[in-house]
Amino acid sequence: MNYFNNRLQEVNNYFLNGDVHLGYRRLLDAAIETNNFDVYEATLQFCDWYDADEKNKTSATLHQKVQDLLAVITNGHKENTAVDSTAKIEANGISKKYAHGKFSLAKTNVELHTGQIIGLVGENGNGKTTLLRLLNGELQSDSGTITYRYKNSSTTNKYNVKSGLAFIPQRPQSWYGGLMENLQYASCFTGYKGHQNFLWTEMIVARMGLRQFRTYNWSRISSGYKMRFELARTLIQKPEVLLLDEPLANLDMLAQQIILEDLRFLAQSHTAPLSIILSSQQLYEVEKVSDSVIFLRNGVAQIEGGVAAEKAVGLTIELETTANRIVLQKAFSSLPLQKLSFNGGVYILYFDNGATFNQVLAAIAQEGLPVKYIRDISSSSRRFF
Amino acid sequence: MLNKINNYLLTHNPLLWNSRIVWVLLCNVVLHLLFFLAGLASISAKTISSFYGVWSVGGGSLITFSVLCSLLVIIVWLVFYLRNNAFKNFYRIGKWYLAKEFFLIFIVVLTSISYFESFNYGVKSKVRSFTGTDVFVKEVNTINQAMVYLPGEKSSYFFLNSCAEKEKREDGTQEITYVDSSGLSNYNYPNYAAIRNALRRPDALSYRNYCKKFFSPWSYEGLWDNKKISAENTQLLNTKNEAALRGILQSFFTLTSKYNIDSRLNIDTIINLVFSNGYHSGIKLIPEQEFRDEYGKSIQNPFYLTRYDLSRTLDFINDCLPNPENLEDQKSTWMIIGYVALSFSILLLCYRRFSRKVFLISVVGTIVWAIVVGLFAATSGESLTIPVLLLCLCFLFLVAPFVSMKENAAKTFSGVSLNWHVYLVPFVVMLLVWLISDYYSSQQIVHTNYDTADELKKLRFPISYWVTENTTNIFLVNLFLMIAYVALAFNKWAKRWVVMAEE
Repeated sequence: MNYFNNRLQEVNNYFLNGDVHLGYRRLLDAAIETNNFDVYEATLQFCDWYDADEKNKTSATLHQKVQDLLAVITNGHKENTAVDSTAKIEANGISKKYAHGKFSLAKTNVELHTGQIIGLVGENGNGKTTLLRLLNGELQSDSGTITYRYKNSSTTNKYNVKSGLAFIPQRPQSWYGGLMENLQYASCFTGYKGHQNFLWTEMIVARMGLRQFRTYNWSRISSGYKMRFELARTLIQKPEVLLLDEPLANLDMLAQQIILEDLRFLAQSHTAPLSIILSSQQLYEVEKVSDSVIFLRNGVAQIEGGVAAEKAVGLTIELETTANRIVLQKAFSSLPLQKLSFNGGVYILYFDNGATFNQVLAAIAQEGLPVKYIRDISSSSRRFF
Repeated sequence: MLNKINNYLLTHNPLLWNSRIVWVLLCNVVLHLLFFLAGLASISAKTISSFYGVWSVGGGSLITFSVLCSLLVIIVWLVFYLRNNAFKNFYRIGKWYLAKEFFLIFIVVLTSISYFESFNYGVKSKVRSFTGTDVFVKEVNTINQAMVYLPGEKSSYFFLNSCAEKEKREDGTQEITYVDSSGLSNYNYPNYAAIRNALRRPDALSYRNYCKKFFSPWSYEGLWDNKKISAENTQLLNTKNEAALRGILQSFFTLTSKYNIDSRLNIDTIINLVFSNGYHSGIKLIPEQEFRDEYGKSIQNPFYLTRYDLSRTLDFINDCLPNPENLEDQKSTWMIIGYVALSFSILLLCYRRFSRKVFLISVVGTIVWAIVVGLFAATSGESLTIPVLLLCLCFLFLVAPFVSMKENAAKTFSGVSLNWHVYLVPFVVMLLVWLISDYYSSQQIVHTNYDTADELKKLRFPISYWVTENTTNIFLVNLFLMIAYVALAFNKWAKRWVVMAEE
């Protein structure tokens, strides 16, 4: 069974297991990957039926409809050639010092490969946006080089190079006029005319969960949906590299998760994988979807490369509990606890190399400590905060 | 239906959709049609005499209304047009997209600022509908012939102003106006003796001596010249053809009635005066006004003819006919409208291509350096300071951004310089013409004099002569060249600028 069939099977399983919303999104992903407008037509008919009544989402006919659509998708799919794995963006030793102000971004290396997601984390004013703007070519780097390797990037026409690189700022500019017409307008420049334009735009709108808002105006939608519409407009243009500055800033928890999942799926696309760099302060969430994380502190990259490879020496645990320091020290007395720090909300426990997370859990259970939250942050950039 | 068209444009031609050209042109066609119809409705043969010219038919209020319509259409259009900008969003635009966008902007602006011209076309069309060129030529001939017998001034009937006498003089066309004895008191007058002698003749003032045209429009085919009028007059007088004279005067009255020219004349009295003696010297001037003022009292004249209204009416009709002179005027008018449209289009283009910061700096900066250049020119006292300085600035504003774009530095400065360059560049040719004309004038003073024949000027200063003679055509060609320059070259540089990194 090839990759695509596996994916369809996965979609089928989501529906069978009752994960309808996830299955629906993955079904649309699969349909989009076919690049087949007959499939898009059938998918949008399914979407119309799916959205027509809330009961349809739990009805007995749903599974049959999904099966039918999966068959259409299977027939409409053509196996794609292997995806290029070279670095889409390669930045070596780029730095930036502003003429006014004390901040400067130290020499940083970034290598973004096809289908990869790089998380850019750090507190406010530590250079995340500066790094993104440098990669987007908005700012002139004081040193180093940036090489772009994607379609059209080899041309001397810098405008074409920028067309393949999408940058979504933290606060997207307002859209004027209808949302759908803005999206269709963008779609035209991707090369989709007439009915194809409509189908392609509708597919992306459906995929981003924006069908019910497509007739709205910019002022009528919330900040979270504004970000999703901006993302939809970007995806419609089929960029190869996506740079997102704080896309999670105005989103609630659920929306954050959905956006991050979507980004993960987009990056994993078999036919048109996206390479993504996103900056955020939502450390855990970003780490969950990122292949690597760059942590910026005072303009200096603390981690570069894979998170797992940069694992800290020993075990670092984040713990939220009502127990005090003395109780904790007593509870972990049997383990090689090196240091225990408290930032007013949570404790950070540093153990020697010999300790394991399970041993920590056992010690907590044995002492009956009241735990509100616990996480192993040995491999996380959280430990730098 | 409208939605369908809009949706079709949106999904097939995003540029046409974004520019709203279809709708704005449709709106402009309707508005131009309305202005044209208003022009048609606002004039008739009988009302012509009350206007000073075609431009005055609408009056100030119509010009104001036309400007307001232009502003309204342009503002509403901008509200829709400025909603989307593929260029600044780095959409994958085609090779000619930016050039086409500029052409569309220019067309929209051009059609939106020229409503008043449609009104003028309406007026002219209406005039042509009741007085075409052929009719006009016949009418002018009739009037010129009739005016021989409707004296307004004595000098036209003076012996020395007859065709034969004029031909003898070097300044053949110049009329001797010192006919009254009061005028002859000046002994220094060069033709004093000749005039005194001529005045002693019994036919010193005679209908026979008349050799002029009351109205001289563009030289249409079939239009009678002075000699022809004089010959017709001589024949009529020689043959004592009262019936023919009556016919001429009746035709004239038909025309004064057609154009509502205020008059009170009596055909029999006029005929009697013409044939009152053998010398046809019964000249009696016909006043211009119905009433004259005598010792503070308003006294009614028995006869009068408002020649000024008649002359103005004929001028008006002449301005409405498609003769080469009018076509040249029309070309000039459209050239001015074209330059205004180009200037506004360039301003709008700069707003579309550059950041707001760059746009604002360049607009405010333009005002500042215009004041500086003006002050500099005023203090220098040299008339050529302004064109020379502006030409240098235009060149500098082109070179500077190229250097900084090559160095990939000073993005704002490059943008502002490019803006300033494009604000100036349409006027470069005008500045050059200014310089050449100035040189031409100064050389003429040195080497020749103003009366030097055209052929000699042509030989001595061929380029300057050609430039001066073809200024309108040069400006017109420049207009099209500048449209192409902005659409192709400037847009290309703007594309280079927009991808520049900030420092």
